[in-house]
Amino acid sequence: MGVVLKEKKKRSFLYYLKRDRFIYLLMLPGLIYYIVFRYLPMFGIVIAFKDYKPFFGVEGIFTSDWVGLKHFTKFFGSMYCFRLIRNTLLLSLYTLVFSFPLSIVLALFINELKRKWFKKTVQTVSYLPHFLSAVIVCGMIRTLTSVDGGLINVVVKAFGGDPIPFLGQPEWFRTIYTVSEVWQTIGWESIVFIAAMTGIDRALYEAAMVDGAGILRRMWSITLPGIMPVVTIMLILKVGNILNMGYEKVLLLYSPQTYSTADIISTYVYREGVLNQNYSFASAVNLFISIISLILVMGTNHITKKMGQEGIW
Amino acid sequence: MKKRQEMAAILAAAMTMTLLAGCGNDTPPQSQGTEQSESSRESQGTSGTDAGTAGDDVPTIVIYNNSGAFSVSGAEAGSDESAYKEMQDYILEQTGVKVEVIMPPSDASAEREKLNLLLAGGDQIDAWWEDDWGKYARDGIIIPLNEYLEAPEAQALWKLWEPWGSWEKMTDSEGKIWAIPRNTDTVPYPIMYRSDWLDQLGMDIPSTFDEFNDYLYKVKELDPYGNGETIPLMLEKGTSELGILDRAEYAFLGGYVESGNGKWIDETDGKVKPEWLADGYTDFLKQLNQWYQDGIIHKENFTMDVDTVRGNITKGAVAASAAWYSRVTLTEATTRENVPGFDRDKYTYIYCANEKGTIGPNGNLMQTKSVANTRGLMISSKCKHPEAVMKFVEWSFEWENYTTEQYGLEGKYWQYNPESENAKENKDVVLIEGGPTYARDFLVSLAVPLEVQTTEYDDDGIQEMHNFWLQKRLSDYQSTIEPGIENGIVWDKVALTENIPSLNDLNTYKDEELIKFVNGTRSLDTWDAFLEECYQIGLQDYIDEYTRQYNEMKNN
Repeated sequence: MGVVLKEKKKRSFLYYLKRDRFIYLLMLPGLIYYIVFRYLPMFGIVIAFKDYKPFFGVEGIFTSDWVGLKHFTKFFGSMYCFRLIRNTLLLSLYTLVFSFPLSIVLALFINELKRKWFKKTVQTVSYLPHFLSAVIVCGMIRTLTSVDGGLINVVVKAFGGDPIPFLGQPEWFRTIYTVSEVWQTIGWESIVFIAAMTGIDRALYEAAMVDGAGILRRMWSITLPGIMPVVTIMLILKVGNILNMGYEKVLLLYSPQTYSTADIISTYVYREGVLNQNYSFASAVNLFISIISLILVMGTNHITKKMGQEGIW
Repeated sequence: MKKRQEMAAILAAAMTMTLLAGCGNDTPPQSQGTEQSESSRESQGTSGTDAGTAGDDVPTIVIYNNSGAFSVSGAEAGSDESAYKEMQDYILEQTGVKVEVIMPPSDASAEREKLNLLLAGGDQIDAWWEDDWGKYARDGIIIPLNEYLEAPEAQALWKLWEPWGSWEKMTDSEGKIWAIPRNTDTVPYPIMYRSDWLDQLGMDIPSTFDEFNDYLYKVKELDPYGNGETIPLMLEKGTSELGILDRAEYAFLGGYVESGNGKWIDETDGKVKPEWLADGYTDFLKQLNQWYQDGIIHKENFTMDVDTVRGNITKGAVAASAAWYSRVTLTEATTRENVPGFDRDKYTYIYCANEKGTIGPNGNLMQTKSVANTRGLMISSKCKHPEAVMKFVEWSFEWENYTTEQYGLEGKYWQYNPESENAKENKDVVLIEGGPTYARDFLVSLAVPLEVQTTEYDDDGIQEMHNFWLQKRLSDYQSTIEPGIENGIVWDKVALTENIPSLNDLNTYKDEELIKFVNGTRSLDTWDAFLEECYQIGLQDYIDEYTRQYNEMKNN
């Protein structure tokens, strides 16, 4: 008995728009948000090529003088350009290298905890530091590393060493920053991975246990592969932000004594652009960072796909 | 189903409206003191851009009060709403002007950042304080004030500042006056000693560098604070604009360099050069390095923020201070309370200083006079009522109004000292405790010419140390040397930035390396190499531009 498949009739977009109008209506606020707050302001990038005076507001974007690549030339012509990029990359990479795997490890361990109340307590305690402001965290770091009674120096003295002015020595800056960043972020970042783990089919674990797999084997062979798509996406997003480090924490901890390892693009832009009202310069540097970030995201996405993992598009 | 669709439509419409409402800032003007909380006043500043008038004929002006009025303990959270409103109404009654105040954040960088963002965002700000009026004047952001200052009602304001020479710093080469002054010449970096510890060591107040140095080493050995935590000498790091060692240079450089902490003319080539190129500068660095190595200055001294400096002083650990004077004077009462067994009958104040200054190794006074800078209150070219701003400013710069702006309403927050016979004549005031917090929001006349007029006593009937210092010591230029050629000079900072392309790189490099010479990570044997590196970065452009500006000013 032959079956005649009726060819599906192609409909116009307007047909679907009318049919699903209420669903499209729900999309409208999000669409407006992106147009008004994300796409329209992009026009402001033009000030990177102008001498914009903030006092004259939006009007100044149109009336200020066109200076071409002046601000880009200034940034790349600075004797500190290479150092700023190097410091930014190193601080970001150290944070990424330590914080990213550790948040996965933390998530794996939390996922294996059997007692619910203990699991919840560990999870809450581990992501609490995320909610502390940079000012508070930096205050804690200053207190801990202080020469006068700071906990770390108390330990150093107890072992017969001389107190170390940690925040005044460039060689310590990256360590202090990375450790504090890892402490502050791994709990929060592990939430996404824990959420992904809950989606893994429990039958896989049961089957593995029947086959005699221990905790570590189950983690390695079931949990990790199960969350790999999420890990990949998170990694791509992280790599995209590698040059886009926030400046608050560095700004609160650095001084001319530690510029050689601590001064990053964001702090330089803050000093040159925001404080000196040179918004055009700040925009030029940020445009450069955005372009690099886009290239990094696309590059990582491409490599990930080549490796057989899912990308973000 | 239909109900669901209706709900979806309503929800989407509501969300869209909320979004679009967030785009505008054309909310009508409202009194921040009455209708907004103090925190929102700090964070949001003023409302709509049309806040030109409060009523039919009452002009409303908005002032970003970064005069330093809030830089006192207890002012961080701002005033109570009732106290703010009370003062606002009083000023309105007195001047016919409704004044709104935007409180800046306490951190200097955040204060500037907020101002810049407010200006960029188009918020109404009619007047604000700034270090350099030059760039604002050049871009047409502020208006010249000559017309207003020539009016008869402004004569008291003019005369108040005239003896201090501060108007010169507000005036450009064409005679246009761009701001109301904030500063006078001062003596702000004295060496102050713990009175009781000098006594314990059997020493008088040092008058020479050798005696001063002797005290530092003896007090380190004595360790009167205990646990090896006595800080023999507290310095303070300078700003990124003036240099990390700037404050230490003010305190000591005169003792090593003839021209002190200021630019000087090199007679060999007739060029204007920075203080760090002068003969003797390396001796100054050598001394700082010696103190650093010997634990005389704190290992974290050049990374410490102001609060930590103040905290070390008030906890009673500092034997001598060469930081900004008010770190000691404003906290003197607290420090005294924190030192158990301090004998008030024996010592008037817990810190003392040699009023004649200290003679340095080169036979000159060590401290350099700090000349008034170009900081002033400027009026925006967008201001709809500049005459109202001036009216408020003129009113503020009368002593009694200044006192009211500082403490709150007379009779409620302060009164003339009832125990003093000529209290009004002597401007002898006592504070009244207990009212709602007033955090000096409206104090725009915070300045030495008015500060020195007030006399304040503590509960023991002794003049407050800060008040004493303002009246007797802050303008005692005899204890200092002149800062090279800086007196009477207004550098054109816009031209400096334009004509010295590597100015910021040079300043950054100089700061980084100088501090290495101090903490010993770079040997002074490499000083010539350091100078060579500076020339490679652009030091010659720096010298040429300063020389050009100096010659231009002299020729005019």
